[in-house]
Amino acid sequence: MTPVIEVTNAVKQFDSVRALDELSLSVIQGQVVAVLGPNGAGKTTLLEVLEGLERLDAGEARVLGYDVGRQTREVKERIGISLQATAFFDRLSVQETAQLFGSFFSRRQDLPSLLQTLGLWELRERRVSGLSGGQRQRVALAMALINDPQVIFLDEPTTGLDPAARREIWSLVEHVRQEGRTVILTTHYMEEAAYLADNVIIMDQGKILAEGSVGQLLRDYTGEQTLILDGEGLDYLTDPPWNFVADNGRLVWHVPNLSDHLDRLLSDIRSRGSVIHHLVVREATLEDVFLRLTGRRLVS
Amino acid sequence: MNAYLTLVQMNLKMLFRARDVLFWNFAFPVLFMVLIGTAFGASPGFSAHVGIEGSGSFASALIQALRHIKGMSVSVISSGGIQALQAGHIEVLARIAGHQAHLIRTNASASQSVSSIVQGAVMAMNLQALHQPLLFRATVRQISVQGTSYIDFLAPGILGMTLMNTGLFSGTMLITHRSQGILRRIRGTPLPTGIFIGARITTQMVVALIQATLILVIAREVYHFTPVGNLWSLIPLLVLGELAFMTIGFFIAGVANTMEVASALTNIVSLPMMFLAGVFYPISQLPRFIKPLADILPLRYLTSGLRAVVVHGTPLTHLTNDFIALALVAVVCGALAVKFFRWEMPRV
Repeated sequence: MTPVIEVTNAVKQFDSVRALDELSLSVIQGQVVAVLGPNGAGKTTLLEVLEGLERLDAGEARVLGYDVGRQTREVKERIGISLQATAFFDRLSVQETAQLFGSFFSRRQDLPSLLQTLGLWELRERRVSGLSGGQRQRVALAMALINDPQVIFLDEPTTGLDPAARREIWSLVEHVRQEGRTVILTTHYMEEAAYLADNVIIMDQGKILAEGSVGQLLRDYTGEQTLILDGEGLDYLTDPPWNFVADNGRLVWHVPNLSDHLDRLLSDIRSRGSVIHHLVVREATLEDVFLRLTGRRLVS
Repeated sequence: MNAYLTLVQMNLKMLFRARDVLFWNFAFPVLFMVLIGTAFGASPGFSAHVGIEGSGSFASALIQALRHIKGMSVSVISSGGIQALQAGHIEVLARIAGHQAHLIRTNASASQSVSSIVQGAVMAMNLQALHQPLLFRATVRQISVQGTSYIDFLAPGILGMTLMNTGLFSGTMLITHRSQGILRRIRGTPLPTGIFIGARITTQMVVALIQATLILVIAREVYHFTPVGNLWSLIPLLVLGELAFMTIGFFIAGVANTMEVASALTNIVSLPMMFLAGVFYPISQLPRFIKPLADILPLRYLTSGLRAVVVHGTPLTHLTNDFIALALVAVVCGALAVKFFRWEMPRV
């Protein structure tokens, strides 16, 4: 299958910061891809390069077969975007905003049905300034879909929203995927990536650290389970053979078939005279993948 | 074309929905003109005050005769007439003894006129006493002459000042939209920059035409200001003037990161022009050392052009200098505005 997005050795430098560092990436049609990473990882820069808002210093980025740097207009005609800081003209209504943005494209969706799909039909006469955060985000999504795009880029679509509004956006993204569009979204919410994404890209310092489906990433980079310990005299567990990861004063161990190792671990701890205050066992998450890859937490 | 027209339509909608913008664009210039026009514009009728010292039949007859003159008031003074004259309470002091009136006036021009009027009254009294028929008669009719009343001067000046302010401040809207990230969002669409800017300019032109109509209509209704020139020939001047000031405003929006900096820069540009570019008084009244400064202010050329068309009916072909000066500003500042134009805030 031909990729809809193809990035090859992309480099983007902002003063002393290398936002994209020899990054390569390929996305096939109809997928929801979540780009996950802490602030400053280069997620937004990656999206902005693909949206034609930033130019690469080196390397190449292609969207729908067009070179983004050279055929920016062709790309912009065919993609939908929702930027991180969403703002529209305060004094225009939802419908007027949609009319305005629609006029910028040669191809347009039917406005009433788009507004209905996004639950904005009832709000169409309302000024953008009078909308809640979740409603504004739905307007942003509507503007991203207004030109019936094949690919849409959503930069942190749910940041700052309450859980109910976040769920609403999730179901809309789900709907967009069902229409056969490719969705690339950035987030630092792991549960968002886990819920929405067919594929997750984990980024840090301008590089892709890992890529794959959630299940695959969990299998490859964590055990099926995670053991978290808190106590005294346990620091030696970060050394082989145990290889725990230190995280905020606690020790985290990703291990398949934990029950096979638990007896041996506990007797080792006892034999050294160390003390366990807390012991928690849980299923591994993408946060654990990130911790394993970088030694840091995703959200500090 | 669809994008351009929709942008103009939405720009105008946003403008007419913003009360503060409406006030500064439309109500303020009109209020300002009415205020200044009322304070300094009304041409006062003739009024003078004559003091009479002395009594007798001549004094009574003179008082009678002077009181028939419109605007003339007469006081009988027993003493202190000179002091009243010096203090400006009266224009002329007439000391009357028997059939002799001794007129005392000051070096003020009003005093000179009033003493002539009093002498004329005495002359008329003599003729009447001699019962001689009048051989020569003169009647007086008043006509209005454009350019002589203050409002004739002020209305085009206020129009120029308003166009300047609207043009300069059109850039601040760009700063607001840029800091909110709206410009960046628009840049993410295929809309060409030229159409976005073109629509912005068109919107301002519509505003400028409404402003011009409003100012001229109010000046006519309130102050009986009647433009002499062909008002359609104002349009090229309005368009070029507004364009010149918009390019300055866009240039400021390009170099200023915040509204505060932009407001300060705009004031630095607009304040000298308000007072030195012939808005409220003629440039010829400025001190000689300031005149070269006035000559480099773009507003000077807009006000003089507008005044020439509106007040004197000068054809546009005689205003080449004003057109060249404004076009020069538009081209230079337009190039700077394009060079410094930014869709987004600089990265920190």
